[in-house]
Amino acid sequence: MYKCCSLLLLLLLIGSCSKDDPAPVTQADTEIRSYIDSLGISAVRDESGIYYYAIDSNPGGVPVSPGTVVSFYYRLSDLNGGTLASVQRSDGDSLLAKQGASAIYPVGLDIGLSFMRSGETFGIILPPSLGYEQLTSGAIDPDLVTLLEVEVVGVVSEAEVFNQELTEMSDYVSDQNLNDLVANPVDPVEFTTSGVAYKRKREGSGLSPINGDSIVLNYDASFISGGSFDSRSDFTFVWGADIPRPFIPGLEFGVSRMLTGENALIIIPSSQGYRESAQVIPASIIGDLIDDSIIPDYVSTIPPYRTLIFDVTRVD
Amino acid sequence: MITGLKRYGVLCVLCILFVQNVSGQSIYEKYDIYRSPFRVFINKFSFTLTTGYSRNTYAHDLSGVFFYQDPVSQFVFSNGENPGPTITGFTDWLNNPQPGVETSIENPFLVPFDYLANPVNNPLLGNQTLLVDTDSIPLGFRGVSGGIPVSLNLHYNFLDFRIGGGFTWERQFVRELEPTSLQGQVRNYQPNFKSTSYTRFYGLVGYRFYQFWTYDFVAELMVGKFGQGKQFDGSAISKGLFTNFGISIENNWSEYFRVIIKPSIDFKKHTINLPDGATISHRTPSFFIQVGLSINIPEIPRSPMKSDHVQLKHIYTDPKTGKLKEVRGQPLWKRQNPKVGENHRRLWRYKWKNRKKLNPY
Repeated sequence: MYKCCSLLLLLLLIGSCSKDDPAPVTQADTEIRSYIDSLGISAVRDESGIYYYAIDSNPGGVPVSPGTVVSFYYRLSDLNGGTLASVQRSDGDSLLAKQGASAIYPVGLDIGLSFMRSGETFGIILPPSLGYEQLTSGAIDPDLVTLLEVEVVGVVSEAEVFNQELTEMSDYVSDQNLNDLVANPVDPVEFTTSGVAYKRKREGSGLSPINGDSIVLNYDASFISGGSFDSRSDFTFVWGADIPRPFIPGLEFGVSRMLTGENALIIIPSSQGYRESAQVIPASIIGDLIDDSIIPDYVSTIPPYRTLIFDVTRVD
Repeated sequence: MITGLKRYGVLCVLCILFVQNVSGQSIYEKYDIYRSPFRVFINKFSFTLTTGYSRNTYAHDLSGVFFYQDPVSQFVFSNGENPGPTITGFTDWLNNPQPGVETSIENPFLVPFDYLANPVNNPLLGNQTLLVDTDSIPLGFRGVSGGIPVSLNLHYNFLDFRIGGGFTWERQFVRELEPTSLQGQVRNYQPNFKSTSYTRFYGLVGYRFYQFWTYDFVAELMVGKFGQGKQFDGSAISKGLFTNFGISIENNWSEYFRVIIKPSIDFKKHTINLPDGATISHRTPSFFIQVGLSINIPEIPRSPMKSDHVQLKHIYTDPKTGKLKEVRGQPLWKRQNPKVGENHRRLWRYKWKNRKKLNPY
């Protein structure tokens, strides 16, 4: 009898330590349930603590799964109906985000998307802990319970995104006549197996970089779709030192083949650049999240899945 | 044997009578009682050996420098000029400044540095590079660690004063130092050594300011030079004298033997001179609690007769030379001229296994 009781107690203890425990009921839950009751709808509470309900269902749509790239529109509001931010069809292109890769803020949206399919619209109610509790700037009340109405317009794999980017790069090369060596000397564009395209515009001399070399670059960086996002002169670093961190693989690959004095266009698909970057809802708080060390600085410059062009001159 | 002891007893009584009757005159001269001059001289000195525990603080304020931190290193360099895109500072500014690797002070999460997998709430984001001008944002480090000191000193006693000198060797076990500001951003300073040695040579003065039964309370001040272990680069360090002040609480078991407990505080500092001209001053105060023994070498020897346990100092006639010698019958740690019961307050029969018995035998 004593042994049986001990075993039972042990099992209870182990069970109580399970990491799959649902989030405890909080004051926010009370507020959310009251809101749901007032709407007369039924919503599901996920074990993480978010609530979601279907506004438009599409059982035949492509399900969102971890690692897939989701295109979506949204409307962010408080539970009183006040809109805080939105990106709708009328605003232009949908937003892209990689689900299940800790690349979406607020975190509750990342979780909510995982229950959706393409063509569906959900209401996702975020308690502060999965909403904006971490935000110290006060741009959004950290204690606010928020409602995201999300419309998923597409779900694709990363491979499909990269293929689209390669097509975009080929179109760019054609449009810019980069293979016309009279108009754009010196060499034709070379597409490498990684997807990076290299167009030598001026020959250099000497040796390509080896570890320990002090390298100096001038570069202008822009999106293939247009718009410059960075420019540097006399950017100095030690090749191979990876300090403070390595470069994006596409740029490193391009510079690795440059001689002193050489000038080249390096066209970098997102797979060799900033990949999924991070999708922040709303975009206006990106700077605040960077200040709070919640997302990396480059998120303010590079949206998810962007092809980049670096016009680089090695001047060392 | 008994005859011999009786003879010594008679001599002893005579000695006392002579001391009483021949006031102002040395009985040693009058009756030609031999005492070793060296013993008489050395008896004025106390030899003290103590050991215990030390609590050592390492603290410094960075000023006049830039403090740089990235995920792998921390270093400092003079803020005399604005830093360029790459910097080379100095690590290990506590003890042995070494040039750091040439480092870019770029933000590692800006373009064109690599993307970060799982970027939202990635722990690496809290560990970015940091460059602080310590003249604008005060920053320092402080840590406390333990040590084991061993001290040996010698002092001369006159009246209630003492003067002397000594030597202390101490093994310190150094822990990491915590930042005094910017906690959460600045990591702890990790010394490049786990333990080191300190040596101290000092002069000592003291004054017995209070007595209570067999206890003496002596204020002691020690001033001297200190040396640091090989982990400290002497060529990059300038340092002054150290000062130690403590209260020595001494239980006198006899006039030759005492047990000591001594708390004391120790003030010292050293300055690191960086090759680029910046200086960093380190305060390293310590608190000691030491226990030990102190002895005076008796001015007279033990009686050559093993069975001689006479309670008082007494005269012994050397059978070979016929000379009179003053000897003692009690060991070093027993009172030499005890009052009744001072040396044997409890009989052996009442000790150890019989200590709780009312009538052991």
